[in-house]
Amino acid sequence: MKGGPIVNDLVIAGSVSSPAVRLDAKRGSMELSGESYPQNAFDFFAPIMDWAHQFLRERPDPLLLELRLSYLNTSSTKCVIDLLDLLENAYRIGRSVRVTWYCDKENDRAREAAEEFREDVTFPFEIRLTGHVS
Amino acid sequence: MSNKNTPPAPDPFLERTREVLTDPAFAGNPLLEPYRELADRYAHMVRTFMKTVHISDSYQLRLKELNEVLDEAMRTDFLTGLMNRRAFFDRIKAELSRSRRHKRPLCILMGDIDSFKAVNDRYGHDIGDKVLQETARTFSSALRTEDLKVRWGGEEFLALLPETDAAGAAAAAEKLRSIIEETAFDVGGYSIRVTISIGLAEEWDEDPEAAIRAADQALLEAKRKGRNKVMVAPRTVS
Repeated sequence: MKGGPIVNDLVIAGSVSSPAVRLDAKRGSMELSGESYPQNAFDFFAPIMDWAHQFLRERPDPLLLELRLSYLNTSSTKCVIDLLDLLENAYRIGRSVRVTWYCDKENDRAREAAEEFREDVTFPFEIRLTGHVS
Repeated sequence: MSNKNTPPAPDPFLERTREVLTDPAFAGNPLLEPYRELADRYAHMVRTFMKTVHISDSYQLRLKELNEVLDEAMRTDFLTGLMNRRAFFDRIKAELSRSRRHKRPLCILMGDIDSFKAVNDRYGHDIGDKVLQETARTFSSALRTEDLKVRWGGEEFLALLPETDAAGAAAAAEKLRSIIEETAFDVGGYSIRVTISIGLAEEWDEDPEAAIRAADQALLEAKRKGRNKVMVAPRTVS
């Protein structure tokens, strides 16, 4: 086990109502893309939260969160805020974390939402306007 | 309408709790530690709650806006921008009961571009579509704002004229017919002239389909009589 990554990669295929998830331990990256309104967002996000916890506990490397989420229901919104809280706490004890939030430049509401997610966050959080997202 | 840097709402209970927790009289009291933690968690949860609500509002607003766009698209004919059949049937009942209630006349006018197939055959469908758009524009501007203008199908247009009897509708139809006859549409480098045949029907009983059928019959009659004509359906109210 020593030297190799203990935290495993986690890949969840996207569906109509849940985003595609790619958590890459070697790259230190978490990617979520798609729309998020699963039946139970807390269940859906639990393994993602666990992975982030484990990564931050076991690896000293920087962590990048890349989000291409065009729509989130209320409970997914809560889960993403929790995830950002987790990153914020890690950042405050000296970890290198950052977020890139991609949103459709045609969609003002998505940009407004991204700006609200960024509130209260002190680590680097970039909002990138792109063409159609996911 | 951004909620950028929303200040936390004043919370007198939390303020009071914090005052007590920071009172020098209690400094060093280990019992206060969990209460400090609780106060912090409480403040954080309230903040998270408000943030979740605001973000959720943004997404809901977006859905609402998209719904309006969809609703509009669902009621509009894509090519001409006129009302489509679906929107017309949504409106017709209301128009009908209004005319009944106020005992006001109501007319339906059905127009069809003459020999439109020849336009498509000669110039191609792209040009044909542009001729349809120009005809729709003329159709729209020749009638009143309060008239409902519908793309009924291929090269067929329907109008509903409230507060109008057969004589008024015939005058409006004749004006429309002659404007179209006299206008040369400049499309794709061609100057194209078309004519239109129109059938109209006045007032009917509870069944809007009956008036549409009557207007359609009158339209066929106009075609039979050599096209580029306005025909009025015989009044068939029982």
